[in-house]
Amino acid sequence: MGDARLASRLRELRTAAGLTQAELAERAGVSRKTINTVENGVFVPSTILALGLARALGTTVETLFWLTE
Amino acid sequence: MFWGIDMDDQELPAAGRKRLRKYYSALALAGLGLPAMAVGFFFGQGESGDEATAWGVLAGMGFSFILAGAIFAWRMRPGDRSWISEAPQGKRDRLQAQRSRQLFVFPAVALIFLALALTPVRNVASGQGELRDYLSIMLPVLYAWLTAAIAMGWDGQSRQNRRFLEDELTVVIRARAVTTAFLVLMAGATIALALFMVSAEYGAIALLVALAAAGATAGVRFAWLDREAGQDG
Repeated sequence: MGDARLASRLRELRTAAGLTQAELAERAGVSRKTINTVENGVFVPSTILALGLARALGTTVETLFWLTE
Repeated sequence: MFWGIDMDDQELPAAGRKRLRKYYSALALAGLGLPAMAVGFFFGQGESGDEATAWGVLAGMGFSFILAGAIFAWRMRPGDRSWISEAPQGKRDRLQAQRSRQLFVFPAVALIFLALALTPVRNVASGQGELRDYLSIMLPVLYAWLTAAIAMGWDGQSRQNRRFLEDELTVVIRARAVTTAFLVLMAGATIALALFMVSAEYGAIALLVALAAAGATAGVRFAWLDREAGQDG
């Protein structure tokens, strides 16, 4: 499910926004498990979900995710 | 797609009416079960063999209807307001946990029925099968189908609560679980075919095991991956 090429700053930005995984999940309309797996690099989100997470955190997709290579 | 999970002023009364309809349907189910159970017990007394089994099945079905109707009616009872105040994320967690429990319990039940079906398979293969033997053989297959249906999101609970039970992660978990189950099914069916060439009885047993194992694999693998997804680190 994961991909080593994808790096994420989701956990960092979520905690900086003062949100729990459950609160971010509710804002993005997904389960807490989805947020957990994205943060742990176990699951690569789709473009739609990445945009939804960026919108929920008031940032851009590029700030949240980037390619390591 | 992102789901709107808060009920608005129009949705709430509609949901209330839906619950009331379900409450009356549950009462009707229990009402249907009562005469079925009474008739089954009344006419089954003094009978033997297939006839006793048939009346027994009717009585059992009647009892199941009463039990299921009573439980469902209690959950949908008028005046209960707890369903309104439940937070969306709490409901999502509760429903997902309930699905995981079902996906662990149903395969266990299927395996128990599978163990009980081995003798009936021999009876049917030897041409001495009775109605109860055929029913015993179908039960593990039925539970394998139920497990697979829950894993695939085809059951009533999943269809009614799709916005709480389905997201991108669910789709990925389902794909992985079903891939493993498909491998088990292919391997089991191949072994069953090989055993059939040796003995028709062994082939039938192996096919039953393959079906039950494939359904159980889909369920347990799904529940396991879902559980792993919830763990930190």
